[in-house]
Amino acid sequence: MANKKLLIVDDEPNIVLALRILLEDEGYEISYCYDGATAIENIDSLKPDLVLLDVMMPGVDGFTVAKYIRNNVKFTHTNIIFLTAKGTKDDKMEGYNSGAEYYMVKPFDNDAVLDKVKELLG
Amino acid sequence: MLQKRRESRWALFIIGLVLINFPLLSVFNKNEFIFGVPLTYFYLFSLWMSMIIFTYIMTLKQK
Amino acid sequence: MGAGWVILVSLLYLVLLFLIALLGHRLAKAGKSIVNNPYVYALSLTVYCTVWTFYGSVGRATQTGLGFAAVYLGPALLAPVWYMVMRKIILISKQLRITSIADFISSRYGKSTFIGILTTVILIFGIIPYISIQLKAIGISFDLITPSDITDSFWDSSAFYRDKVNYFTILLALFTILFGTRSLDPNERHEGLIAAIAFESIIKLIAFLSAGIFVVYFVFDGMTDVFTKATSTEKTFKLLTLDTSETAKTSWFWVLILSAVSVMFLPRQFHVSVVENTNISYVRQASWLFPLYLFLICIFVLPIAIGGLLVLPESSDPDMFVLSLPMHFGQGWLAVLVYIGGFSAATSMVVVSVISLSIVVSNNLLMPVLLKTRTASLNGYTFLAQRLLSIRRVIIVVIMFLAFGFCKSVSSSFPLVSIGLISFAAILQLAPALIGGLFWSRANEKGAISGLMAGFFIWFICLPIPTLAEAGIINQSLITEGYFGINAFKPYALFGLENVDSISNACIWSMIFNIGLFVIVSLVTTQEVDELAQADMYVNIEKYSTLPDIEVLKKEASVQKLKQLLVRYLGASKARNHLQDFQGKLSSSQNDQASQEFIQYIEKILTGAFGAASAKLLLSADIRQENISLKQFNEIINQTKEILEYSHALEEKTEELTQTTNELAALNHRLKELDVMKAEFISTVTHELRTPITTIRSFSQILKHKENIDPKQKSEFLSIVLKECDRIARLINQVLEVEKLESVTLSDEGNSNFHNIATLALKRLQPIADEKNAALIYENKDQDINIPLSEDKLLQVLLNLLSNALKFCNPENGIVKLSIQYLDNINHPLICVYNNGQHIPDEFKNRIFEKFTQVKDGNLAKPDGSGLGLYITKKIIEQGGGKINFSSNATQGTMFTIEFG
Repeated sequence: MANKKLLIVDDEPNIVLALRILLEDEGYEISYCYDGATAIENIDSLKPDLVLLDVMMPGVDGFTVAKYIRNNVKFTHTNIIFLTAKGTKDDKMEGYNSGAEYYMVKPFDNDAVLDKVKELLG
Repeated sequence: MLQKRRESRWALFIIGLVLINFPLLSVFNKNEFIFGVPLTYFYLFSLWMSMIIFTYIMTLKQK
Repeated sequence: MGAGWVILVSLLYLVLLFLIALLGHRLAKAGKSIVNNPYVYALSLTVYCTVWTFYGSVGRATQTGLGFAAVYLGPALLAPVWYMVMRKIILISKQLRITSIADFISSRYGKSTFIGILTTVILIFGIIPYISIQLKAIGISFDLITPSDITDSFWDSSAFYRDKVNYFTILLALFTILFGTRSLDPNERHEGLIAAIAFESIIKLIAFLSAGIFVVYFVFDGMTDVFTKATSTEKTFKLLTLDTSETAKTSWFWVLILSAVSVMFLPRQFHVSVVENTNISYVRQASWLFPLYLFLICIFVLPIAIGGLLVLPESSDPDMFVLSLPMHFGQGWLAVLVYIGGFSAATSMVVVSVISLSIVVSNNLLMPVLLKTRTASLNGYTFLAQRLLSIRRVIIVVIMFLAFGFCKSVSSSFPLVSIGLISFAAILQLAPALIGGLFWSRANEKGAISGLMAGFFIWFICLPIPTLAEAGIINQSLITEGYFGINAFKPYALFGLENVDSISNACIWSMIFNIGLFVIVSLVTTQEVDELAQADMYVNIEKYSTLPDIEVLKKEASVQKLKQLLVRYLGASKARNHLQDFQGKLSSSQNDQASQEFIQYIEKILTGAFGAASAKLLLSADIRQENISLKQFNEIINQTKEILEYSHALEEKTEELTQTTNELAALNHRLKELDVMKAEFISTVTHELRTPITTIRSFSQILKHKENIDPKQKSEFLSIVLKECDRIARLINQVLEVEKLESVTLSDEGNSNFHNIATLALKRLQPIADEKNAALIYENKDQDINIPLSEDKLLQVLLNLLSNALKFCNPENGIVKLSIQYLDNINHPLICVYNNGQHIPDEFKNRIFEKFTQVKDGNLAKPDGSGLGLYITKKIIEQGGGKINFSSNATQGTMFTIEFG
């Protein structure tokens, strides 16, 4: 748990806030942004250990961000969890195909999210 | 049965046709008398009557 | 015997005939027909015996002895097969409602109008001479029986004489009209006529037999005596045997053939034996009764001829021996009887022949010709059809007039039989096409036409024309030198045929060309499709006498139309009767396509009234027809009707289907679009709902789990939760609003005072304006402006626009202005909402009124609207009959304008 870095990407500020509260209380270092483009721009500098990704965002969507991360050799260690309202089987397939570890549907259970994060980050 | 009747009708016709024409007619076309009338006259009218009678008989049969 | 007396007797006799006819007609109508039995039928056939038999045979016998008998031996010879041949003809004629020989022939060859016309022409040329000799005979017999101080003979065209034959001609014409044109019967049956004819035949026979008995047993001492005395002079002796010269032999043969053909196909014979026939079994009886009659009427011919030659002066006309012998011996009453007998023979021939000719001419010649010229105005045809009877009367008069003319100009110069044989030879021309048509299915129209035309042509140049030459009307060198002076074209010895008499010559050559062309052309050419059906029917009538006709041509007509047709041409009551007959067999519904059976039935009825060719023309005027290829026909021949109807129905269905498919495709596309839109809407809405729910849940969980939570944080989180709840509620309301707006087409009409509502809206938004430090300005002088929206809706619109304006107005120096403006050329007010914030980016300009579209700004977080506000606003305005628009640019800000009216 030693200062693992997390990046939260969601266009809904309240959700970002909720997740921040949740995870900061667990001692993670949190960065956040509200759209995919910004995420891609800054991910180099941030180098997060885990990314919590929304899918439906204006402009660049979550799948694209995920694929970007995966195609980038630098981020092989980065874990990706999708947190999204899009919950169909096809969406889940696409999510996993984009290289995510976990695909979680909103509304989510806070504890469930925490469990997954801890699992991935140790 | 019908066919047979038809055939006999045509046969009668053909016979009549032959009998009423030359050359067969010439046989009876002589200047002789028979029963007080000229042969030709007798021949023709007998033939005629025979046709009538035969035809009559055929219609009887058909009933 | 005074002329007046004779005239009176003649008139009385005619009246008697007329009464008999009337009686026959009435009895038939009452169901107690005296005509409907085989004996009367057989007697009616003896109309074959005209003045030719009555007077002419004796005349002929003085020249050729027994040679005269050939004319009667032909029919006698047919006796055994009579039933078989006539049966077929009668079956066909009844099936197709044939009413004349011309109909019969033209019907066989595809109801050909041309053949109908051709046949009619041949018949006219053939029969008019025949009628003329009847007139001649009446004239001479009248002359003979009436003593006259002036010895004018028949061939003096003195004014006095002219009256006589004229008189009789007119009398007979009237009589014929009276007999035959009283009603238009589709079957052309005239019961009364047949009764009168049968009576006349009896009179004929009695008269002649009386004369014969008188001569043989009173003038002479029996048959033997006559014949023995005959041997005493050369000219009578040679009569006892048949002339055996080549010419005579050939003549004998050909006259046999001619008489056999004529007894069946002369118009009057066809009429009485086929058209008037009511029961086929009668034919069986007639087949021996008729030859018996002929036998009886011929026995005394030769004795009378001999008697006349022996007893009467040289100048005596042999044609008239039958009458002149009794007169010579002062037997007044016998002479009158003979005169009446001859008169009978003439009138029966004239009446029946002229009636049947008038039918032929009206149906086959006039109607088709007139139809073709009047097809444009069918009313013209209706007019004609209704006056059919009058037309026939005119035709009768014309025919009689022509016969009279021929009589005066030609027949006067010739013995009766010579002219008669010319008529027979004309009828012979019909035989190949007719007999061939009955037994050979490949016989076709083209073949028939070729044969008929060739035969008629040969006949024409070989007989009537040279006859005119002989009569002195045209140059006599024609006979001796041939046409155009060419030997080979000598009419009585065509192509150098020697040793034949004129009749045989004409017969031989006309038959060669007629039959030859008929067969060759039929073999070489193909038949039309309608012909094939008729050919099959004619040749194989047995098959069809119980089955419906095979009609190949496709016809469409409505039952209604056909019924109207029938009424139009036959009159309402007749049409009704016929229709009742049919409805008894089949039930056909009123306005449907008429079934093939019904169409055929109607056609049959019309054929009966107007002849086959005319009926066909009539129906084509009303019904469309299409031809099918021969190949298809052969395949279909056994199932024609159904398959044709089926395939046509399929064509129509396919066309309809293509149209429908196109329409359906368009609809389907639209539905798919709508489906997609709906799916999108649902997914967006659910997404929009999930988002605040996620927030609420998350924060609720945090609040629940976090034990020592900062109260400020706690308060903040709870506010978020509450705000999100509001957001959900708002979203749901807006979705419902949208739903309501989309489904309601009528706008709930409303009216509100702008000023009041505007003031209310501004009041509500003032706090937000204050919060943002924005200026909320209201510019409106006019307090009486009314907007056609309900108060709620107007408030909603204003709130939406103003809150948007506040949201986007300049953050430091925000100005939001609500104003009413008037532009020059618009006489209603514009509502304007202005804000001085950043302009709407170009890419959004098209979409801001759409559902769920929200303008986003890079710096701003996602706005908390649902994206439905402007959509709803626009909808409301439009339902109120207004328009909303906006303009936005970087320097001046954004202005929304609303106008109504």
